[in-house]
Formats: sequence, structure tokens, C-alpha cells
Amino acid sequence: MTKPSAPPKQRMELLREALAKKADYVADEKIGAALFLAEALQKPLLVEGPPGAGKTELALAAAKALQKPLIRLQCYEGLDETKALYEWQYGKQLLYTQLLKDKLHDVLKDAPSLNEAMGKLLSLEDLFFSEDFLSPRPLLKALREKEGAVLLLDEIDKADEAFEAFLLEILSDYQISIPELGTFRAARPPLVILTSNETRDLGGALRRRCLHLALGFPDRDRMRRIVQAHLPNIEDRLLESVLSFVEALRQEDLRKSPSIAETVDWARALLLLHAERLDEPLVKKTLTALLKMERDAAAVLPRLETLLSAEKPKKEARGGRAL
Amino acid sequence: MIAAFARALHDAGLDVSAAETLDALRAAETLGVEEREIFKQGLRACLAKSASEARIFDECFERFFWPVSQERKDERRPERAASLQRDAASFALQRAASRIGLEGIQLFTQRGLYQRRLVEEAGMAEMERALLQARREGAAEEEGRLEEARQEMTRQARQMVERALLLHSRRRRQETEAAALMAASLSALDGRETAAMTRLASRLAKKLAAKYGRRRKEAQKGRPDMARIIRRNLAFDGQIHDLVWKNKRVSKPDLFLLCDVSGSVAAAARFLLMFLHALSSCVESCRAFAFSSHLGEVSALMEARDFSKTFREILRTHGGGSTDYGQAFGDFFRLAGDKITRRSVIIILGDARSNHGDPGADILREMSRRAARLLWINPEPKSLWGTGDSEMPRLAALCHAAHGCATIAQMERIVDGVLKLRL
Repeated sequence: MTKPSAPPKQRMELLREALAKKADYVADEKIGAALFLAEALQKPLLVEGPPGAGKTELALAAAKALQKPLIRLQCYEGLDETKALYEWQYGKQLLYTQLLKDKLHDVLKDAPSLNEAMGKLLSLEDLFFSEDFLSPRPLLKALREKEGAVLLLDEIDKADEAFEAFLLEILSDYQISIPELGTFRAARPPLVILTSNETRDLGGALRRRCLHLALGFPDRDRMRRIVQAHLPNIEDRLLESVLSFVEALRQEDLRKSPSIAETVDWARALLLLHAERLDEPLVKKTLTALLKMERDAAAVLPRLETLLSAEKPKKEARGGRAL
Repeated sequence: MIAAFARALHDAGLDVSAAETLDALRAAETLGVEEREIFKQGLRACLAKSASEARIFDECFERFFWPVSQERKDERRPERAASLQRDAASFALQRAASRIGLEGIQLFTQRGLYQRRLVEEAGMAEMERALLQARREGAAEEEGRLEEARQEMTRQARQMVERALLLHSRRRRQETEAAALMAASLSALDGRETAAMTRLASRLAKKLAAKYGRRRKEAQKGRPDMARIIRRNLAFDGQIHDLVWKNKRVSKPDLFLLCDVSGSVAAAARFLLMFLHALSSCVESCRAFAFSSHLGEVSALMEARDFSKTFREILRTHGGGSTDYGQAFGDFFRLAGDKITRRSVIIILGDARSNHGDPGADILREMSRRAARLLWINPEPKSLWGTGDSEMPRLAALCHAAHGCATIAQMERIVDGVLKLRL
């Protein structure tokens, strides 16, 4: 490995700056280090965390910051290699065989014996399984990208274990084997980002090949900067009470805690309503932007007053946060 | 250094592979070690692969790279000489530690032994000889200096051994604990043991799931498999004569689980349910029922991810009554009797103590006739079967097999046997 010219700290700062400037993504040191390493070591990065913690967003931001095309593969149950990797264009192949039939006669016309005809046939290039009939799916596309790409495998935990095993070759060697054609190697290894909501435990083999980043809900300071990045003209006082209220909500036993995106949406709604401070009727009206489950809203509504007043004494205790 | 740290992580219970250690080395090379926080983040991304592992990693990191931070603090002190002495002792001890293999320490009773070996290796004998010499010659200043150095070395050696013990003992402790738990009786666990047993059981279940989950053939049913159709029909000029369908090979049993959750056997029920909770991917379908007097289906509850909550809920709704097997089997037959086929495996967990009520032998015979297998798991040892109100001998005769199952090891063997069935 060659020694990098600039000290790593500086290069990391540059990366974080690029994330903030080009993609409005506020990355703390942990995220910066993980992403920087993934890029420097050419290792896939596995990002785990609760829904709405900014996992997918990180990949989108990384693509923007590194100025590489983003290729995205949304994983789901039943996803297989024909949808993820490549597929033969059967229609075209069929047409080709029809074409071949017509031409075959011309080609073999002057071959006197069966043996010679066979010889002649074999000397022709095998076009049937060639790249012309290959339609690349996201994974193959990412490997063929000349300048490198950011490959996002979203919600890998939703795919089957079989698919996970199939990914291993790509993740460790950046190459894939197509039985009919041979092995494709990436011109330039893409930066692979895998996200998981931990609906099931991923296999050890996959984990071993990836760098790991556990992404929880951001702390207050980062959350503040995120909201500010999206809504530059929000007033400090409103922002603080929004943050406190969301933090208080996250302490509650909810089925779906408010995520980053929902917090930003809510703050935007409050701005649109020209709210200056939070009070009960206002929160009641806008709560739907924050809590997306009826049961959660019903559980919170009667306790609004206490939750709103709890923000006054600034509690920094974040230990028992429900994730 | 990184390799030693990886070893420490391994001993703390993380599964660190050689490849990951190499990654960590490259990461350290790329990031440099000057910025402690960045160094730590980098290593963590390489070595800790889940949130719980990250916690253990943090703990280990602070312990392992402790000397660095400590020395930094010391630099502020004005006493140069003392600091130098400390460094000398520390240096000698570090080298001695790697020579004697300090990372081999596993039990707290080994502390004395390792500490003695450590100071011996670090040259304590010579130091003491020099000290004696100085004392004999009456060189008071020299004596004081040496005495101080000796104490310093002893102190550091003690700390070093303590730290090594903390770093390396955990895995061994867990291993001995697991071995003991494997043979412990399920019904006699206290709170702490239950927690440890739960961890063990989920690990065993995962192992089983990995073993059998792979066997199933992933394919959709009833859809044409275009790729194979075209390949097979190439011989016919591209006209399609043979159709190939994506089909599913079924080799997994339908599982019905009847758990007695009354006080006497609830502990065993807990672990059996937990096993099947983790193994749901390995069976075709699994329906769970719980009963004490009346029986109810708990399959829906089993879908939840957090098992301990699920089990509390099951106990609340179905536990607490006095056991009535006749009633429970009747309920089961009404609920699911028509779903029992030749591919069904029924597992009944209970002590067969029906409080002198009707044990439901007739219904059991019918269940046994319809199902591929009817297994009875009894948490009581075989010697107690048939004593008091136990109807076990009579009921066992109606089952395909009846097992005593007092420990988690036995339970694993039974579940393993069920999953092995080819139906």
C-alpha cells in the first residue's frame, strides 16, 4: 500500500466537507472514518441501524461527494441473480437462431461432407452466448463502470440468504463469473455500500468481508446541524424545542420512533405555519408529520403536555433511548 | 500490536478472522496512529461487525491501548527521572510479557503465577542483586533509586497482569459457563442462569438454523422458467416443445407444537419455543399452541422478533391454570385437527400430569395416526414417569417416540432429529 500524500485526518476532513457541501449530509467523525476507510481500502461498507437513521442517504451523499454515478439495487425477498446481475436477452437469442437457420444453408452449402460442415460450424464464433445478448443488471453495471461507481445494495436483510452468499464473490474480489462467458473483473472497484435494518441477522461471511458502521439516531448536536442544513432559516429557539420534543418522543415506547427525515419534515411544516414556539394545539395539528402510526399518536396525545414541558430542564441523559 | 489486539478481542468473545486482522492492519496503516479517535473508529469498522460487538470493542480498546493514553498524561508531570524510570520498567515488562506469553492468562487464580514470571523475565533478579550490593556497600542514594525502581516494576507488573486477565479471560469464562449450562437442568435455573441459558440456546438455535436452512431449495412454483425452456428447446429450432417450470422442492416438515406452560414445565417450554422461534426458516410451517387447561394458538405471537416479550405474553394468556391434557388435546383437535397430514410433525411438551383428569388418550391416538410423527418431550427424568398422577407410560405408548429432556443439550439433539426427518 502506498503511503498517502496528505495526512489521513486532512483527507478525511475533505471528505466530510464534500459530503456537507455537495449533498447536505452532516457526517460525524465515525461516519467520516468509515466511509474514508471503505474508499481507501476498497472494502464494502455495511451500514446498520434503525429505519430513518440516514443509511440510504449516506450512499446517495457519498455518490455526490465522490462525483461518481450511483447504482442502486433494492433488495427484496426472492431477488435472484437474473434480476441483480445479468440476464440473457432471450427474445434476441430466439431471433438469432431463426436468422441462423436461414444463413446456415448458405454457409454450409459448399461443404461436401458432414464432418466438414461441422468443422465449419465450429470455426464460427459462438455468438449465442456473447456480450451482445447480455443485458446487465445493477451489479454487472457497477462493475463495468469505467470510472468507478457507488453501488448501493439497499436493505440487504430483506434478500434471502442464498442471495447473500451469491454476493460474496463480488464483495471480496469485485468480480463475477458468468458460466457461459467467463469472469468479469471490475475495471475500477466500485464503492459498495450495503444497508440493513436488522430484520434478520446477516451471515458471518458477509460481515467478515465488510467494514461495519452502526448508525444510530444522531445526537443533539448533529441533529441540529442536519436540520439547519435543510432549513437554513429556522430560528434557534424553535429549533431547540423541536429537537427536545423529538428527543423526548424517542424516549417513549413507540413502535416507530421519529426518524431524521420525519423530524426535518415536521420542522418544515412548522416553518410553513409560521410557528414561533411549540404549544399543545400546534403540536396536535402537526403530529401526523412526526408519528406515522395511529397507535403511536394515540399513545402520545394525552401526554403531550408533559412531553412538551419535559424539554424545559435540559436533560442530556440519552442512555435509555429506545432504538 | 494489531495482532495482539485482535487476539484480545477474540478472547473477549468477538469472532475476529485473519482477514479482518489484515484489514485492521491496512486501516491502521492508512489512517496512522497519531489521532487516537480516528484510529479507534477505523479499527472498529474493521473488527466489530455489529452493535453489540462494537460495545465490546470499545471496552477492549480502552483497556488494550491504555498505556498510550496513560503515558500522555504522565508527560505533563515535571518529575523527569520518575517518568524515565517508569518508561524503563514499562519497556522491560512489555518485552517480558511477549516472551512469557502473558496473553495466555485465563483464570484469576493464575494472577500470582503470571506476575512472578513477568518480573523474573523482566530482570527482577538482577535488580535485586544490585540492590543487595548497594546495600552492602552502603550507597544510600543508589539503594533508594533501585528500591524505587523495584517497587515501580512490581506495581506495573501487577497492573499489567490485571489488564491481561480482563482482556483475555472472558471467552474462556464463557466457554466453561456454556459447558456447565449444557448439562444444567432446565427447570432449576435462577435468574442469572436463565439469561445465560437464553444466550446459549439462541446460539445453538442459530447453529441449527444454519445447518438446515441451507437445505431448502429456493424457487417459485408455477412460473415458467424461461432460461431453461429456451436452452432445452434450442434443439427444436427455437420452437418451444418442452416447458420447464420453476418448482419448489419441499422437504421440510409441517410442525405443530403443543406446549404445556403451567408452572411445572414452563421453563422447558420457554426454551423449546425459543428454539423453534429461531428455526422458523427451516420448517415449512410452524404452528405453536400453548396450554395449561385450555389450549390456544400462539403462532401469531411467535412472529414477533423479541422473544422474551412474546413468552411473557404467552404465559399471561395461557399459563396459570391447572393442567388438563384431555381438554387441551380436544381444543387442539378442534383448532387444527383437519390440518394434520402425512407431512406433519407434532411435538408435545409436557409432564403428562393431568391432575387425575382425563389424559385424552383417544385424541392422542387419532393425532398419532394422522401425523407423520408424534413426539412427546417430557422435562421429567424417565424414572419419574408413571409416578403419582403422571400418565406418561400410557401416553408414551401412543407416540412415535417419547424423550426425557432435562437439559438444553438433550433438547438440541431432539430438535436436530426433527429437522433431519425426510418426509
